[in-house]
Amino acid sequence: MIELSEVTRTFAARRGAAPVRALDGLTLDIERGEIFGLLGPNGAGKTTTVRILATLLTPTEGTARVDGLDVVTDAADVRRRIGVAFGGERGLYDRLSARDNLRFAAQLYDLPRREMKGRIAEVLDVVGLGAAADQRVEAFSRGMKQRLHIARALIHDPDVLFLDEPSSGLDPVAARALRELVLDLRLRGKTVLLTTHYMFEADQLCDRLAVIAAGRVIALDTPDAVKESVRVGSVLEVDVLDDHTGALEAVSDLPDVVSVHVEQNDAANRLVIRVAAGSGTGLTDVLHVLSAVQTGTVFERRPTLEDAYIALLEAKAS
Amino acid sequence: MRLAIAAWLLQLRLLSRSPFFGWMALLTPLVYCSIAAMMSDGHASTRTIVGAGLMGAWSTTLFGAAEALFMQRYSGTLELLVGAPRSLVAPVFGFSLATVTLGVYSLVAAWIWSVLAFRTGGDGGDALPTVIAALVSMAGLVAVGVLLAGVYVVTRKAMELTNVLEYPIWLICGVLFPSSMLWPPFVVLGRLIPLGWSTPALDLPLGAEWGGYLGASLVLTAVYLAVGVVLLRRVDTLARVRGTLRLR
Repeated sequence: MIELSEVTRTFAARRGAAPVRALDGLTLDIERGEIFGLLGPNGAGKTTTVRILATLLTPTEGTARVDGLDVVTDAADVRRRIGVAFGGERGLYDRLSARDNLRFAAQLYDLPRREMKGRIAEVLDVVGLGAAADQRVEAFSRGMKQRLHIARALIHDPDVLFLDEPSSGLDPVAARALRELVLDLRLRGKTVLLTTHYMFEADQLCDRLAVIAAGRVIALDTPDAVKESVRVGSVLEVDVLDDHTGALEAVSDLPDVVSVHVEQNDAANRLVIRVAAGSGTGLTDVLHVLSAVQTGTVFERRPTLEDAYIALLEAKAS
Repeated sequence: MRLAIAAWLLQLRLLSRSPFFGWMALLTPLVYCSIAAMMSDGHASTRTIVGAGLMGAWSTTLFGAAEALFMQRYSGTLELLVGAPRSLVAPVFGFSLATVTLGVYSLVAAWIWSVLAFRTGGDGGDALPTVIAALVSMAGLVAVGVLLAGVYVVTRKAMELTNVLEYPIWLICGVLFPSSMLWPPFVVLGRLIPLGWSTPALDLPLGAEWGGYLGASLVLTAVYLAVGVVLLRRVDTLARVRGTLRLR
């Protein structure tokens, strides 16, 4: 349904500086009806990828197709088949109501006048904004704006949806409602390309995902397969109540420790220790080398997608 | 056409909900008309009133077109327009028409103000050719608005361009005073703009010379519209290649 083949995109820099390469030979193939996640750190090229597929940017090299149509030469046809929701506060007419925003979008997509009223009511209902339809958008919360973005992307009933960080900045309740909305879109047969920073969100929603860094794919599979593909067997977490500097070095020297990083909270410094699959190193070994420092909560867990993601990025960086 | 009307209504709604622009559009023609009438010792001619109204109309067109596209880019909705399957021409034509609608208000407000404040509604003697010349001028402003809009899509410097263009244009086009008072090369520059041809007709009675000026203005209006349409069709690609649709 969506194909990117060796796509490169460079941006001209300010005078004297080297051009910025946002995408560097990105290749992806997304199936019809999938929810596909695009993960990566800031500047990895996620939004650039979405903007190329949404026909708002042209690739410098390579080709991108949606439903067999080239995003450069068949842009108008591609636009009829896709809906785009760039998250955030921008992109809406704040001084108008939600209904007026959708009415103008419907006219941009040439919806017949007789269908417009019903379709606007339908998409407002899908995103749960029916009661706020006639309120000015400037009075909306961030979550309501995100849902209005999605409603607008759905106005012409496209087959493909691009959602760029839809839950960014939302409170937990609004983020959960949004995830349920995305799952509902799959039931409606839509193909969804989703970019996100939230690993648990990608884990919960996506059929497959790609991790990209510096404009290239560094992992591409189902969330479970990505978790299994990295050399992380288990994760040990230990709260250190004293100075953690010596503890960090001591734990890093243990055999088969893939990585150690520190998460600070009010009460303690939590050491997050990733241990290679099949390793004999466990909590007993960790507590042994930490016998000189005061420790608090200690536990072992299975690696999450976030662990895999961090391991992938660390491997890429090294 | 349906999309152009939708864009026209959208822009009028947005402008009507912008207190700053609303006050500016309301007061500008009154201020210009007052200055023009006082410079004529309180005996403003139809020509002076129309000239003052056109000054307001030009400011509205320029700031309206710039603000429309600037605000679309600033609020992130320019991508909605460019990312839609329809060409940019219809919405931009609608936006330009909305600003010229305010320009028509500017003309009417200037006349009403001159009657109320200065007890003069113009000499009335040759109002018809002046009013026709004013309407042709308004058509030229729509064309200029469409052309500017295309430029504004490509450049992020819309507001700066607007500030540079406002006063020189109505001076060299002879909107308030005949451009024959200016250094001749400025007159030539003014003739590159539809307004530069239609405003001399404000001073002329019905006749061949009057028709010639208006004909030239209409031809130039058509050229501006054609170039504006071609530009708008191309800026879509150009903006996608350059990546200039967003504010950085």
